[in-house]
Amino acid sequence: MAPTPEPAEHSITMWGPPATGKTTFLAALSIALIRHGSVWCVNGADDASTEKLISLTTSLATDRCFPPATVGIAHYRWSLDGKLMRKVPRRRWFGSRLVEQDVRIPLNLVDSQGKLVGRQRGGAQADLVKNLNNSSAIIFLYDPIREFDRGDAFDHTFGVLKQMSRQLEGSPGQKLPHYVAVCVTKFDEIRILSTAEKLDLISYDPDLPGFPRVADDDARELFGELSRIPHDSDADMVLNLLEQNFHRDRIKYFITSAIGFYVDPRIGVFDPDNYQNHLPDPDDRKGGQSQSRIRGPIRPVNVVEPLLWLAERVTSEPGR
Amino acid sequence: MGGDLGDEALASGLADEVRDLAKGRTLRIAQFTADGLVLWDVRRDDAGTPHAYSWPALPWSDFLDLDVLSGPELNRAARPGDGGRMVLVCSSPDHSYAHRAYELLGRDHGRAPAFRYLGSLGDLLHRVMAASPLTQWYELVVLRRTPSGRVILTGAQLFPPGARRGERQPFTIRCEPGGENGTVFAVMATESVEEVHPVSVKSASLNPGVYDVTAVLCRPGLVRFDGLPTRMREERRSWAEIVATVPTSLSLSRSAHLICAIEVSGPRDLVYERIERAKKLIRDVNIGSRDRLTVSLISYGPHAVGRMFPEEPIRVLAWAQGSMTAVAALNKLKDRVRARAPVEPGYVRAAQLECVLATISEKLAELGDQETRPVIVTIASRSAFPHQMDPVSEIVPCPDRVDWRRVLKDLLEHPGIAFGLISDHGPDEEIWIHLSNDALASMNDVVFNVQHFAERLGLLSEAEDVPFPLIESERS
Repeated sequence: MAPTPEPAEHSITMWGPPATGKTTFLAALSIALIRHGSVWCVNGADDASTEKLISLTTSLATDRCFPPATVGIAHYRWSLDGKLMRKVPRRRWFGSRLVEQDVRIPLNLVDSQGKLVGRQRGGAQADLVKNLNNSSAIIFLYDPIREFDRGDAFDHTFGVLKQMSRQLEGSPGQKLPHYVAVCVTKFDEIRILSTAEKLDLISYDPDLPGFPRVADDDARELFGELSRIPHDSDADMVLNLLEQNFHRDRIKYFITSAIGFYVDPRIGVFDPDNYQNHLPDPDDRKGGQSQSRIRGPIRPVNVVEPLLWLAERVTSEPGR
Repeated sequence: MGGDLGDEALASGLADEVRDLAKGRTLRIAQFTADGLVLWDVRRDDAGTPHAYSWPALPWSDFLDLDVLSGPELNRAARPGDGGRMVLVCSSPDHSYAHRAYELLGRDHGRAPAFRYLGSLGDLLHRVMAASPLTQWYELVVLRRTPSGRVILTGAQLFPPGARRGERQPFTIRCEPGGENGTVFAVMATESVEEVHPVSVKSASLNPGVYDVTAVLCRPGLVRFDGLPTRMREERRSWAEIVATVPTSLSLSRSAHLICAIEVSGPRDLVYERIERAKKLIRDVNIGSRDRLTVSLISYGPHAVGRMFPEEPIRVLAWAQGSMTAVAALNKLKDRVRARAPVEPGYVRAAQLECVLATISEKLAELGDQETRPVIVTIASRSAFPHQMDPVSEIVPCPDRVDWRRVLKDLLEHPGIAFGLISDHGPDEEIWIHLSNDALASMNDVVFNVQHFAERLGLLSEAEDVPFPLIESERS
């Protein structure tokens, strides 16, 4: 039986400054769900979207290449399909009962070139804002490595949030109603993991290969620290900006990695002296064609969890 | 007066007299012949070599007084001026004047040995002197290089006092290019540190290399050197002129082991060029240094990084081989590179240079040759893999965690080790600074100045000539 489509306003939108890894995150999501053996999966809503999903995922898993920045990715439609236990009302006086139901949550990926989003209020920004406002959940991706190099996260976030508030026309002081999973990406990078280690925020999975993790409760602290590292940017305001515009209890922070850590197959466990999975291309910083590659298998870290958290939240809410 | 007859008696008597002849004294031999009185003087030169001098016969008529031989006149003519020893030799006993003069002087010099000898006194005297023992040390003038590279003019002992004709002394020398005048073989007689006198100074044009030579004492004042491929010629320059050409320092005093590490990753044309530079270096150095050069060749590329980037493994193409074997190995390497794709896939950020250095270190330890100086020439572009994650370069660590700094420290234990780099970029990283410590050449240079590069590494001598043989301190 076909899953019951959730109302459009229950959709989840992936948002973040350009080149923060949204496409990679989406591709990694499919892999992560398969690795988890989850009942959830990502599907394309039409042939083109399905083809695109296949191409993104195989590029990452098989070719071990990062998907190229995609113009017009917002035109594709994907969904997160799975099962949820939901309360179904019984006859009068008998209350409700829990029933496992198939659900399909629209999954939007809002990707825009840097020029289109931010200070300039063009048509693309209007679409982006409309898309976000039509969703009830947002995955906000923050790339600390990009922030070290470019320092434009605040620029890309501030204008969009102001436009969202303006469109919703709430009462003064009213916050945006969305659930927001703030995903700090590239946990596999040396600089990110070493920062977390210095803050003593690392624990290790008991299961092999024993990857490091930052507990969700500590993720906000790490995000705060990371956003203060680029001295020449306004990144330190991004956290406050998000909490100023969304309800604090509707924001959850996740420290994630789309590609995960490298595991030497001869050892089979996480090696703190040899975990680098991203093989950067030095020409990236010079603006050339990126030849960045992925060293070993994709083992996403904390990629499924934000989606499932949001899925539970949005499906338990009545439609707006 | 009778006197001993025969060769043996006179030879023995003269040998005793020559043996006991002190420097600065004269042994006077008065020979009585039909033509008159012949006087011979035997003296030693500063080197202790005896030399005999004779004068034309003084006719008997010069000594007649009223047809009678005058004893005082004979005495005045025959007596050595310095009061030295005298020997009387009658070579014409049947001649009345000769016989009479022999008797007269025999009476006046009763302690002088007297002999009758009919043969050639000159020939006998030369045989006696040739067979006489040395009275001073004989040494070969050589150069010795101190560990700091300074050159010292010194002597290698050949024959001690008392040594006689026919004695042999084998020794080993190394000859550097001696220039147009060749290598000088100077034998010196030494009485003391201050008293050194030349015995013979000859030269030979020799190719640079190591020679096993045997010095043969032909006679006092003459030493022959067996084992040299060319004949010697008399040296015409003064001793001061020769000594003035001795360099103050010398970069090469030991055999060199040239170890070329060639990176074979990257564009094919670039790899070809690296191979050609290695070949030119080996050939040119070989011409300049001949049999003291051994060569090793190692090719390498990156480690495997993930399944996307295959490994270009370390290949020891030649180890401690002759130059021609190494050049042949380079030709094979070029063929192998030609057969592959124009650009070899692989991790572009680094090559397994750290493991190459570790391989060299291990193989040098196995070789255990303390005599030969290793010279490591790296012909490469890509940096080494770090032994641990490097947040700055973001190059993945070496799979075997080899730390090139530690390996380099081990390599530096080899006395006289030198490092040269041929690269298409400057020494812009720490490892390149170490590996270009003694010589650096750029792949971008159209002309590879091998002479300059090899001189910096001590593989070729600098332009100055080395006039004397070199001898290692432990052999001297």
